[in-house]
Amino acid sequence: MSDEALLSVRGLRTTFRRDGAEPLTAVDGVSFDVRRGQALAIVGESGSGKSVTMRSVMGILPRTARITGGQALFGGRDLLAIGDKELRKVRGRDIAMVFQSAMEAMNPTLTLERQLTEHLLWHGLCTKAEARQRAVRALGDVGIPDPEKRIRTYPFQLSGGMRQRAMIAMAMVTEPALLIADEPTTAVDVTVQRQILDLLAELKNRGTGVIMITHDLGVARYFCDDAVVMYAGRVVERAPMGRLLDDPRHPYSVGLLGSGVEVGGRDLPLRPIPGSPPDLSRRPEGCPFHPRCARAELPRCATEQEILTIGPGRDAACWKVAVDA
Amino acid sequence: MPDELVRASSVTKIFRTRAGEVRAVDDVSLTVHRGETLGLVGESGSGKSTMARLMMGLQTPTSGSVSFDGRDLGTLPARELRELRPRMQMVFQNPYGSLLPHFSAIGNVMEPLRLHDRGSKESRRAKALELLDLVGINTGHAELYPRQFSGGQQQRIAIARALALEPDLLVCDEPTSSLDVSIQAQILDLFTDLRNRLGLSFLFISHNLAVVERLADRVAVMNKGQLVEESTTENLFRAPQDPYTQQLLSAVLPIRQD
Amino acid sequence: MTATEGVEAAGEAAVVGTVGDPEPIERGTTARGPWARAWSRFRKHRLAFGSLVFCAFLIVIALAAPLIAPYGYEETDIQHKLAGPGSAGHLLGTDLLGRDILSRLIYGLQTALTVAFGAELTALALALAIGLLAGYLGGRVEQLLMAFTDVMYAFPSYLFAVVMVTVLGRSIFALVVAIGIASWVTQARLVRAQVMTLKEREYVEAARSMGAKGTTIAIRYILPNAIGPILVTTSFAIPAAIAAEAGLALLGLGVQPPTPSWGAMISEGSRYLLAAPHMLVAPAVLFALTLLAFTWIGDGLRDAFDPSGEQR
Repeated sequence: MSDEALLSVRGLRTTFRRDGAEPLTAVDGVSFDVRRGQALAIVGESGSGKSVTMRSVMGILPRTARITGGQALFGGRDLLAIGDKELRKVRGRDIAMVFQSAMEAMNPTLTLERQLTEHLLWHGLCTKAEARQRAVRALGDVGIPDPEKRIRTYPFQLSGGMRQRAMIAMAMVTEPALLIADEPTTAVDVTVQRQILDLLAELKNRGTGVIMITHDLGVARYFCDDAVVMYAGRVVERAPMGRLLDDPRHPYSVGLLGSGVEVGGRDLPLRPIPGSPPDLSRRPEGCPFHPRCARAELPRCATEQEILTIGPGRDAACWKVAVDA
Repeated sequence: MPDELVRASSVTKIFRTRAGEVRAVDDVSLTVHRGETLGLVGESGSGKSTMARLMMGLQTPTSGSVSFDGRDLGTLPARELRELRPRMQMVFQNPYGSLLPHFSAIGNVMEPLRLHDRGSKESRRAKALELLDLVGINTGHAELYPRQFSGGQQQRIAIARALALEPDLLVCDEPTSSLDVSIQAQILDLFTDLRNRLGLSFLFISHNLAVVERLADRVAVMNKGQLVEESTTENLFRAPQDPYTQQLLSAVLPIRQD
Repeated sequence: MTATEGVEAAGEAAVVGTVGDPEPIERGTTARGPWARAWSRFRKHRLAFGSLVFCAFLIVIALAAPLIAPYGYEETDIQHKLAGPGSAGHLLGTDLLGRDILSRLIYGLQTALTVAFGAELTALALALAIGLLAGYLGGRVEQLLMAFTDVMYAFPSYLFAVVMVTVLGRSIFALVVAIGIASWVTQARLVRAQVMTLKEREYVEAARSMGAKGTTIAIRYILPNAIGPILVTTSFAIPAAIAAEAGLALLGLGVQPPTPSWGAMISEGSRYLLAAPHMLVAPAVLFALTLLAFTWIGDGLRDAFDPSGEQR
C-alpha cells in the first residue's frame, strides 16, 4: 500500500504513579499504524491497556499517568511531544473521540446545538451562523430524523441509540481525519448496534480513519479491516481482521477465540483460558502471557519477546509462532 | 410431565413513577421445570430483570400470581416466605456489588448459613470452604476481602454464596455481562459443571443470545414487558417464529466465518 | 472499563490465582478489608497521623490530670498572683487568684474533652438512630423524622443550649446534653443520605434474596459501610463542641467555677490582657492547637475513606 499512515504510534509507554509503590506500567511499548479510510480494531480485555493507549495519544490521561516513551506521529508531528496547548488544537478537530456512554460524554445541561457548535467555534473553524448549519447537517448525516428540530433538544430527551448517534455527530462535525471509538456499541442494544456500525462504516468510506477499541469480536469483524491484539499493555498480534478470527496465531488470540461464545456454536467445545489476566503491578518476566500459555517453554518464554513477522501483514509476539510459520 | 418448580401465571407489574405508569411486565406466564435451564432474553427495558425478581418473590406482582413448588408466594405469610427463600437463590450482574465489602470471602459465603441458623460456626465454616473449593477459589485465600479478587473470582464467590443454602433454583441475572470474554467462558463452564453435579434448575437472564443458546434448554423472549416467544432452544434459534425474535437473531454479528 | 478503572483494578487488587492456575503464589497475600485499607491511607497523611498522635497524647494527659498537674486547679497562691510564665514553680504563670495556669489548663482539658466527647457521642447516637430509621424505612416514618430534624435545624443552637443549661443547671451533664442535642441534626441528615444510597446496593438486594430481615440488613450490612463519612463529621464536630463549650463559658453559662474551663480562662484572660497577657495567650494557643489537630484528623479521615470520590 502506498498510502502513508494517518497516525503512526511507535513504542508507546505509559505508567501510572502509585502511592508507596513503583509506578505501574499500563502500556509497555505499543506500536501500530492507521491509514486513511482504514478501520483498525484494538482488541483486548481488562488490563490490556487498550483504552490507556488511545488516551495517551489524545492526551487525556488522569494526573497520575505519565507517558514515559514512544511517539505518536500525526500530520508530521509527534503528538506526545507537542505540549498540551498544541494538542488541544488537534483534539476535537483533527482527531475526535467517541465513548462508550453518550450520557456520560455529553453535557446534560446543554442542548445539542450548543454542544455541536461549541466545537466548531472553539476551533475557530467558521462563523456562528455557519456553525449552526454545519451542526444541523452533521445531525442529519448521522441519521437523526428532523435535525432542524432535534438540534434544540437535550441529551436526556433522546433514546440510547439516538444519543450515540448524536455523540458521533459531535465528533464528526469538525470533519476530523481520524476517529477513535472506545467501545461505541457496548452500551447500546443489539438491534441498534448494527446501525451505529453502518454509520461508522459510511464515515470510513468517506476517508476518515477509524480506530475502534473493543472487546467484542463480532463487532470487530463486522466493521474493521485490521486488528491489533493487546495483552497486559503489549501488542501480541497484528493481522487483517478476517485472518485473525479465522486463523489466530498467538496463543492468547487462540485462547480468546476459543473462549468466545457464538450463536450457532452451542455444540462447539468451550476452551477458556486458565487463570486470570495478570496483575500489572506484578508482571510476569518476559512474555506476559506465558504463565497461562499451554505452549509455554521456559526459560525462553520468560525472556523479552519481540514482535516477529509471521506472514504477509501479520506479526505476533511469540517465537514459537514464528517458528511454526 | 416434568415437575413444575416455579410457575408465573399472567403476571403483570406496574410501577408508578413521576413520569406516569410503567408496565414493566405485561401479562406474562412462564414456568421453570425441575432440572431445566430456562433462558430469558431481551434487550434493556424488556422487563426480564423485573420478571426474574417477580418469580423469586422479591417483588409482588400487580396482578397475577407466582407459585413455587405449588405454593402461591402472594398468599404466604412473611415468615413462611422467608423460610422458602433458601430454595431459590440469585446471582447478580455486578459481582463486586453483590458481595458484602466488609466481610471476607468466606464470611460472605457463610452469611446465608448464619441467617438461617444452619449448623454451628465450625460446620458453617467447613461448608463454606467446601463451596469455595467447588467454585474454583483457592481456599488459602478465604480470608481475603472481595476487593482483593478479580471480577471473575468475585463472581465465583457470589456463586458459592448462592449455593450455600442448597437451593433448588438458581436465578442468574446477567451473571457474565460485566466480565471479560475469557473469564465469561470460565464462568459458563462452571455453571454447566454445577448444573450437572448438583442437578440445579436455572433461570438464566441475559441479553447475550450466544450465552443463552449454550446453557438453556428452553428460551423465552421478552420485549417491552411482553412475552413474545417461548420454545426449546433449538427451535427458537433455528426457526424463530416471532418477528421480534427474528430481528434479534439477525442483529447478531458472527465472529467466525464458516 | 475506563482507563482509571482498569488501572485501579490492576493496581489495587492483588490478583490471586484460582485453583489450577499455573501462576504460582510465591508469598501469601494478607487480608485487607475496607477498614485496614482506610487506616493505611490515613497513616500516609502525615499531618493527620501526627494530629492523631497529638490528640492521643492530650487524652492521656486529661485522663492522668491529677497525677500530672503540679497543683490543684483551685489552689490559690495569692502572694504569687498574676505571676508571669517561668516564675517560681509556675511554668505558665498564675492567674488573678494565684492559681497555676498550667494545672488549670490540664484540668480544663479534662473538662473540654469530657464535654466534647460526651456531647458528640450523644449527638452521634441520636443521629445514627434517626438517620438509620429514616433512611432505611422511608415513607411516613422518614417524612416524620425528617420534619422533626428540620424543625430542630431551624432552632438557633446557642439559644437552645442556653435554655438547656438554664433548665438543667451548669453541670457537665447539662453541657453534654445541651451541645449534643444542638448538634445531631447535620449528622442525622448525613446518615440518612448514606443509608439511602447504600440501600440501593446490590448486596442489599442479595441479602433480601437470602432471607435477611430488615434490621439485620440495616445494622449488619448497611451501617458499617455508612460509618466512614460519619466518622469524618464526628471528628469535625469535636472541635465544634469544644468551641461551643468555650463559647458558653464566655457567656457565663459554662461549667460552674471553680471547675476550670478553657472558655472561662480565655474570658478572664481577655480582661487582664494588658496586665498579664499570659493569662490569655496560654489557653488560647492550646485551644487553637487542639481544634486544629482534630480538624486535621478529620481531613485525614475524609481522604482515608473516600480518596477520589470513589464511593464504591
